[in-house]
Amino acid sequence: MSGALAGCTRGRERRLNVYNWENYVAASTVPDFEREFQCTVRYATYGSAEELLAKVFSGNSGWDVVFPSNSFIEPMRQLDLLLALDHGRLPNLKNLDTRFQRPQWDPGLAFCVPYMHSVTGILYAKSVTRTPLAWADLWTDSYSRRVTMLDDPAEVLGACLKRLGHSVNSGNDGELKAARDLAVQQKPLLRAYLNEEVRDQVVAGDVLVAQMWGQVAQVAIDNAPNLAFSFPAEGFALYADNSVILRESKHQDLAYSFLDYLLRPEVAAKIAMEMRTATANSAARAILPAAQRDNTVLYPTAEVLARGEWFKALPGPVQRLRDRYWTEIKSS
Amino acid sequence: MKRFLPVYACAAYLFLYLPLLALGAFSFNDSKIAVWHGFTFDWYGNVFRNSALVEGMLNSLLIAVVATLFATLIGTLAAYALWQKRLPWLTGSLYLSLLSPEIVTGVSLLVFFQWMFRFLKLQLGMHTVILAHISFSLAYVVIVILARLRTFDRSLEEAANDLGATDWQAFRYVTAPLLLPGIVAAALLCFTVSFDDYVITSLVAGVNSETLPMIIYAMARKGVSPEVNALSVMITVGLGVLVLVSGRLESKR
Repeated sequence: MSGALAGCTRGRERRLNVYNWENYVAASTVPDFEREFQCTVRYATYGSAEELLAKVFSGNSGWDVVFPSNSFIEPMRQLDLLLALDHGRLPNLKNLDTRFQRPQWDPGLAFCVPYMHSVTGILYAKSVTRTPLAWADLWTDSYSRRVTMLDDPAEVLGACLKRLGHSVNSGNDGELKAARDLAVQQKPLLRAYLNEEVRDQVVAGDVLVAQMWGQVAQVAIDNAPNLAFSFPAEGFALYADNSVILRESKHQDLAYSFLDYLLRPEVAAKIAMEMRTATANSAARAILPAAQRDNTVLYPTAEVLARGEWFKALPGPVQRLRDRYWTEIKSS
Repeated sequence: MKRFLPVYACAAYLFLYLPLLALGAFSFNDSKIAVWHGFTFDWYGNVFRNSALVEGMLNSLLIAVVATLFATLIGTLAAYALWQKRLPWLTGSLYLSLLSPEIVTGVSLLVFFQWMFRFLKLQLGMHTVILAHISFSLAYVVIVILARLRTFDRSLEEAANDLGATDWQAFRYVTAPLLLPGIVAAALLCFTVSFDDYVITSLVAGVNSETLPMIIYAMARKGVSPEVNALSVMITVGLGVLVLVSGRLESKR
């Protein structure tokens, strides 16, 4: 029946199905691609990496191009979900920043192409009495419960682990238990665990301090100049979202074209400018206006980055342990 | 006590409808934030110009109509059989479907479909969403119609049989017409439940079958725009009209 419906509404057009994070393309990116390559693109968005994985897990989801975070690349590769990339079909790969040409999670760029990157830090209103410059500040009672943390196990446990001086990727049971206890201690001081959706509340002044990704924080700061972003002193997590082609894809030609299209300097620059994201494309960054190119929230200096640590994919038993502790934190 | 009854009634209605009224009021607001700026119909126009929303609405309507048709048909016959044969265990098992959390139903359906698709070479799509909706709506339909059947006089059917009617004729000419208000009520409930559903639909939807709740959820994550208000007002008014019409039909009998 759906086949008949599809036949009625769409003809023999070329299709591409892209599933991406929200706010990661400019308004004209997809329509321009559709025009240039004579195809229709089904473009949908998701709000969390777990949501993406749930959809593509079965290997028969219908999506062609998706954008997992760096810590999901290795698990997805092990589940046989990713297509090995033929670099010959991606001539614009050379535009990537040197930092991302041989990344930790995929040294040969065999399966993914880094897209946008950022950090997890603290977004706060400058008017607060105690400027949150370290994770430890989020455990004090100075913000009258107008604090939120991200609804993400890796991020919350990561912040706790960093506060205790351990790695964000720790698999040590003792360290994780201590992190869990810290998080449970913090819970009464929090308003909620929220992801990007808390941005409007911070802009409106409802929430004073939020653990937030750098790119989202930049959009908030644009809308409310009384906000600022800090890179916690104890250390923080780095992440990068990468474009991949799923092995189940039936539209590999268009998928390669789309990946290559996103690597073009002018396309990547337009997205970075309109959506205020930090692109991994150095050729694109070079053509951005100076105010954007040197924005320290989006493109932190090398000395700040030295405090950052990339998320890593964790082995099964460690992941299960962390999930259990996250459930305990959430239900305490 | 009697004097306070109208007060309680008013309070109950206010509790239910005040949020909806606020939603409706701000759908006419000429500004994106919740501060009154001016009166405009722009957002209603924007809803129809937004092709994703229109497509979502059409998908939702199609799924709801088809699912309602099948669920009501199957559910009515199931309820009739359960009532005839007096099977309390089987009836009780249907409550399991109602009681289990939507996420459990959704994940189990997803696993089942993906397992089947290994042999059938299919993918998730409108067909899986419709099947999922039929399966969880069945319980609602059966329960509503069973409730109606419990007030039904068994001797009417026996009388029809005595007068020479076959079982099928007895059902068609005696039971079914008397059941019609119950069937209509069940169909309406089924339509609403199916149109509103988010959790199960988001798990079994395919690439091309985004329904309205899924699109509204994605829009709300980006920061709420009054288009969502306008859309919600239209849906509420539409469903309200349906309820009024069905109420009228029921009272006419």
